[in-house]
Amino acid sequence: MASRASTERAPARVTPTRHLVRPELKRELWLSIAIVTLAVAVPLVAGSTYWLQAMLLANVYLVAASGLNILRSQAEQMSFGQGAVLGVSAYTMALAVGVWGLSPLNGVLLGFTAGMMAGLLMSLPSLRVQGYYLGLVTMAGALALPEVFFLFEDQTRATTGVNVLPSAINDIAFWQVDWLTIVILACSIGSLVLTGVVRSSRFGRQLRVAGASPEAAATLGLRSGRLRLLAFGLASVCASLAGVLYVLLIQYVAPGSFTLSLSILLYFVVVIGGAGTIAGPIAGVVVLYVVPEVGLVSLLDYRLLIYGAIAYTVIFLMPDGVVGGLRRIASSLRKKAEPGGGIALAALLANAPPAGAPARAGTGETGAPLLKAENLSARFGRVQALDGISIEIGRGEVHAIVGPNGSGKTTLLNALSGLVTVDQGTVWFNGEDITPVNAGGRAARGLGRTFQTPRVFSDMTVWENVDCGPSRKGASTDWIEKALEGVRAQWDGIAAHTLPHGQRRSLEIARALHRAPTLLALDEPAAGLSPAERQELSSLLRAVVAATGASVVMVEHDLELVWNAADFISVVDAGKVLVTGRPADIRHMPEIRRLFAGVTDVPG
Amino acid sequence: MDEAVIILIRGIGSGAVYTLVAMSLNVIYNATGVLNFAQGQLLVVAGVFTYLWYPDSSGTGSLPWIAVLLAVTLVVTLVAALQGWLTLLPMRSGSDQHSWIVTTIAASIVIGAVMIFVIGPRTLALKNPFGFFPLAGTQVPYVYLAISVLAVVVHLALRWFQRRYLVGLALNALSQDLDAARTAGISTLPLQVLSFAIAGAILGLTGYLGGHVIGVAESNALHYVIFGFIVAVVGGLGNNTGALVAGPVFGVLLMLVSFQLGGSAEIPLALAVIVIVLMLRPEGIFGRLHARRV
Repeated sequence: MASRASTERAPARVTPTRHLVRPELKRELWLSIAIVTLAVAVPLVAGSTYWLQAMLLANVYLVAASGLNILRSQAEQMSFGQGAVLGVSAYTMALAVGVWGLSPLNGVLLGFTAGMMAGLLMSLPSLRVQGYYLGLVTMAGALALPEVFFLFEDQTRATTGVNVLPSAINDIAFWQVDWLTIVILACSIGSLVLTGVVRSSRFGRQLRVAGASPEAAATLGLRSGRLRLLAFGLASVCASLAGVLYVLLIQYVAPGSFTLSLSILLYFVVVIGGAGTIAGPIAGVVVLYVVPEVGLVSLLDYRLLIYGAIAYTVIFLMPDGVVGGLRRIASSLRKKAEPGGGIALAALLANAPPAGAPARAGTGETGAPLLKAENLSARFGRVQALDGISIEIGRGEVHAIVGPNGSGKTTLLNALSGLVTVDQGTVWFNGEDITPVNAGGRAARGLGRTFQTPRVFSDMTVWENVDCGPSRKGASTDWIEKALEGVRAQWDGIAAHTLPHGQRRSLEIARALHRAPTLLALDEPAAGLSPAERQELSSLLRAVVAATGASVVMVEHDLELVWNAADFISVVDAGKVLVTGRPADIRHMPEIRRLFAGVTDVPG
Repeated sequence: MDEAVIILIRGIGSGAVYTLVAMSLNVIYNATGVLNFAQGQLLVVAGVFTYLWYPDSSGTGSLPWIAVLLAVTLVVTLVAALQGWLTLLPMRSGSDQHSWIVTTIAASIVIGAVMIFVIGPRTLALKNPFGFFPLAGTQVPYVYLAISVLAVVVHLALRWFQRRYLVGLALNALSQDLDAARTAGISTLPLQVLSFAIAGAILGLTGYLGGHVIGVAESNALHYVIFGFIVAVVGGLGNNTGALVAGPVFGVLLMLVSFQLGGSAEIPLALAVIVIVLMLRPEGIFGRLHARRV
């Protein structure tokens, strides 16, 4: 009930359309809350202490797993160390209360703090390494923890373990319910709500971008390292909380309770239950803990065999986990078409007031180019990707960079966006020397970017995909932002995976436009598009310039698009600009003819 | 003086075991992109069958050592191939290419459970089959020499195999670009299962010779594979030469710490090694830095 109140209170602060938990997630959240409540209530009513204890422990695992779910699915960080965080928190609290004689409250605080410190340590490698390297480091950490307890045996009493006596929290609150049951249930419901809130929030989407593509995140102005640490922080809060709850519930700790197996169990619970869903960890705890450990207790000798077999079978039959698999079956039974539809970005831009463009063109010195790069050089090993290249991009123009494969076009684009550090040369943007500024800083100054392969998250809606950059300070005054806000409700009803490829390009461009850039850098926007879609893209680019006054710089192979859409063309070869000019002026030049010898008819 | 020699010999010996585990991980990684967590348990399988079949340890049977060696290697090869097939199966249909993390750990758990049924939860006392040779005043079991030689031989054999045979070349091509290999008409599944089988064979040989060196216990299976990973990563993932150098260095370091601070310090030290290497040089000592596709 408490969550209901908070669900309704917060939206009033922001815009009325904003939900703390997205409407389509609410049913799953309520169902999840009902399941965990019933799981505790039924044994209470039936008077089964054995099942009550088992269900409470299952809820403690659920708290830790929900945190890991956010870390694994939302932030895409692989951690096998959450069991160790839980272990540090639990063990510290047990030592504090059972050995050092602190009060239970101080023990909880100390244990929680220690868990958070362990979580912080566990998260630091994520600043440097990703993927299975990160998994390996965290796994080594989890493997080392019990050994560390034994290494300091005199202090940790590792061989005997530590007993903790019952305290006031084990007193009856009402009827047969003790305070601990209430606290554990509240924490477990809280962790489910947290999953839903993060999944619905822009912060959650920022985590997603930072985890899936640090480059894309940087060009949106997001600091992915900080976001990753925050995600680890959330997961650590859950794991540390689970740690202290574990001690209050079990009243005994030993190093053997916090081995790598616990971390693996938590990871399995998330992935096998259904990563990224609210109910997933519940399903995971049921199939991996409740069934083998409690339900089939008579087959205790076969416990590990059953556990491993269940894990393999579920992944084999349902690669997205139990909840993901059930959802897929349900939707195929229903045969209901997903809410589809297209996004008409060009049409949206066509409605721009004519005053839109000059408002921006007025900023900065008149006549000076928007972006000017001089003498840029970059070398990768033995490849001189950029060899003293210079380029100027004026205000409100579409500038195409063409050239053969390996000529340094994409490297040039990356050097302009700040994704590649140049060995020498200078980049000016709006009259400012931005050479030392990183990709995030350049994004904040108004440099937008899209990538060759669209970075579109297919399990989110179109609007969620567009609105995943950092929140902008102050009221939005740009016409484009207001226009996008106008289609928000409509775009929030379209599942991104229903979009055809061409529309995904538009979506990425919309995402970049949402940041109101003054320069939009596009890497092969026409790649993989049909002729009709290329035509649309061409008019979209002209519309972007007309509506926002921004400039577009693009690397492109499709000469027809280049000839139709570009104001200026720079021909790049071997890390140098061969020639720059208007399409009409350069199309008869011998360099162009040689370069595009395969093209029989140069349009124009 | 004696202690230094013992640390060195034991360190190089156990390091050679980790090198061999690392090379078996590399073979699969290069062909499939999978890091097989079950490799530690496969090593345990090799140890268990060596224990069961070796005349000295069980007292029954009187097979010549070479027959036992071949039989153990064959068993582990088959188990590894089966496990590989079961790992690769869901990867071909599923959209999520990370199912192997779960399936290889699950395989490790299942194999471990079976091994406990067979032999119980204990450290197997595998006898030294070849006797001793004297060195600097101590008696060194020949297996320490044999396991080091095996590491070098496996390294050379893998090199030769990958250069000499079309299958080897094709396996190599998989590591360069899996999609390109598929387009080139190389049927990937049998080759990838083959890579698991090769890894199994390496682990079979390693378990037979190395069982005496590291002391095989089911409960340590994850230690073996994680130490193998660490050696592979320090040497540069996928790079066997790197593993050949990194293994003994890592082994000696572990043994040194173990002598000074006790066995419990081994894994915290291993953790420190992997963290330091990844912080300073994520691509490993011999690894190439792959350009990220932007």
